[in-house]
Amino acid sequence: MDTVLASAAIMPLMGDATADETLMQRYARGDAFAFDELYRRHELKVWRFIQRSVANRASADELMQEVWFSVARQAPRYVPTAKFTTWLFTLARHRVIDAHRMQRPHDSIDESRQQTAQLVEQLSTAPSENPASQVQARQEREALISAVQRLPAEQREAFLLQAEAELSIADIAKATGVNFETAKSRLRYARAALKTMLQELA
Amino acid sequence: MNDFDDDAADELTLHYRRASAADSSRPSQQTRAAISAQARKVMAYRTTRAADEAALAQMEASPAANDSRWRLRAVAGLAAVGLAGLLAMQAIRNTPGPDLPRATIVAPLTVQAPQTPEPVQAPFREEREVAASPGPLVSGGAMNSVQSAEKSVGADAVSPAAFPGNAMGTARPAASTSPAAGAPAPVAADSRAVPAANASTPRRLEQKLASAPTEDAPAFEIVTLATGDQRTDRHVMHLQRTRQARATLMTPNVTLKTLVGLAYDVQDSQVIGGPDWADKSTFGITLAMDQSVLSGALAGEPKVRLMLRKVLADRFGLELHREFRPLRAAALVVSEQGAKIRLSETRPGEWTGLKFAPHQLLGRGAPIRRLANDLFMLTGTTIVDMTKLDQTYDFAAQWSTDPGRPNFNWTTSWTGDGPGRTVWPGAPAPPNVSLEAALERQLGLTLQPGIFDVEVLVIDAANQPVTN
Repeated sequence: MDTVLASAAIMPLMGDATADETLMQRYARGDAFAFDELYRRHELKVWRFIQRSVANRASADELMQEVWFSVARQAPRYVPTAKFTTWLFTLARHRVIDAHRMQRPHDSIDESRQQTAQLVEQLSTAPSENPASQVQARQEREALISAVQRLPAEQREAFLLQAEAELSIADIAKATGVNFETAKSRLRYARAALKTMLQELA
Repeated sequence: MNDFDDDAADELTLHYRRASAADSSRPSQQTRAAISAQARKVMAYRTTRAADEAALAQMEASPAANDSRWRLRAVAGLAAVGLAGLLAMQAIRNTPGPDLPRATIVAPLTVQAPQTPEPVQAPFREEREVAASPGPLVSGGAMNSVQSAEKSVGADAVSPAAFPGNAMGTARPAASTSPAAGAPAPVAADSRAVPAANASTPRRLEQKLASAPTEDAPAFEIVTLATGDQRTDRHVMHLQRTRQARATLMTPNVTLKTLVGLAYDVQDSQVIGGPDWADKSTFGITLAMDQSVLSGALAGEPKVRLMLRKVLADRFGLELHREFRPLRAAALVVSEQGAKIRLSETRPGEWTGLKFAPHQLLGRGAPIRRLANDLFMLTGTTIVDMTKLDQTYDFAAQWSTDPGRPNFNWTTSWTGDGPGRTVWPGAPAPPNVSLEAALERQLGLTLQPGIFDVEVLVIDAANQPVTN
């Protein structure tokens, strides 16, 4: 039984024509459509990870380009020793860290607030059962998004890597270069902090 | 003690995902288009680059170009240089050099035919669609003096035009971070495979290389390698056919970075790193080679480019790698009003080329990527050709005097004797028209400054060469 499970776990990395890792290798061999498919699959996850991390539309666009440029650039040397998403979000994380280090002058708190407001506005237009629940849902989303953005950077990235990238704790540890327990602790602290912030706002 | 299941999403995470899923925010359309375009450029370049590497490997597998035979050939070579050098240096010394942007001038190769005209193979003429231009005949500061030298020996066009190549990149917002930073673990650190974003010049050239896998490796001898001739206040390269069935390449006063740019078909600004002297010390190099370099499927510039790479490796101990770097540059794009240039209507035998004179430029049968190259020389800014105009065109533009810009004289000819007075618009420069405005209003092309993901050559190691 264990053998079967192990084989099944390896399959996506080795033979599945639609696996991310296979698509990456196909792109490296000259299949542009493979890249398109990869991008389609992961565009929003990467985008949201970046946008929540930098809270600035212009910076997010820029970082988004840099991440995917890197994917294209490094395709020939990509070795599927890990999940593609782990590798992809490692790239994204590095770009976010670079951006914070550079303290880009056009990152502004006002813009961040404005964009949060825009997000809330967008969310508020989603269909809802009735106006009251719509308002309540909008307020909850606003609070949650805002709370995520206010998390300490390490906690935020751990939370986003799980919530957006759907990485396991082991993969979060790998992507962030820490051990399993540290990654787990960061997640725990992130969730605790989010709950606290949301309770305070309630 | 675990207060949550390790990998299972708790209610908070699920709640977040629902909120996030309702978020209609997306990357901008420009970003998405740029990513898609870049992925294809990178892939296309990677494919053709493999062909280039194969051709280079084949050449390197041949006997060393500067083996002991050079001592014998040098005798004949020096004799050849005697004649050809006189012609070339006359052009150089008659040139009013100080006005030229010394650090950025990279001249396309000049090819001169022997005094006794003979049928000259012109493979790049025949493959114009591939090389995108039939080959420069003249290039350099003083157009008239260079032209007169050429006419005196019955010059004919032989070499290709893709020299140097223009930078290509993908537009991105300002203040980008270094793409080299932070490579994740699954990827090896080697950056040689980092492809160029250039979708025009190198690709076309490398297709040409790939089309001639059986071409013999070009042989050459370094006749002289000396410190730069400081009397020559510009960087000139002349590839000349001589009477002694030889060809010579002369670079009287060039820096290592300029040589690298020439050898690898990039603008000077795309060559970075290396020792301090790489862009300070200048060298004069004269290469002698068999005239066969001027014929065959790899004739002219591509062959010489490969030779120069060998010289740089053998004599300078050059080691480099390619990678992308965000560079402050200017994208040459079609303006919103559309391009105002017209497809070339030049006929066989007519002059085709690019001429820059003070406040004016004229193109006949000229590819836009070559215009971008020359604009780089004029402005000192890396120009990224993003016009997607891949034909040859006729155009002219004039602008006002700009004290901040050099008095730029530069002609590259691919066919014919030169623009002459009959075709060169000699009207006085209009007042209050900047170069940028002239490009936009008169050519329908816009220079958009920004930071672009541009392929660069990073010098990893280089040694001061031993001069002789």
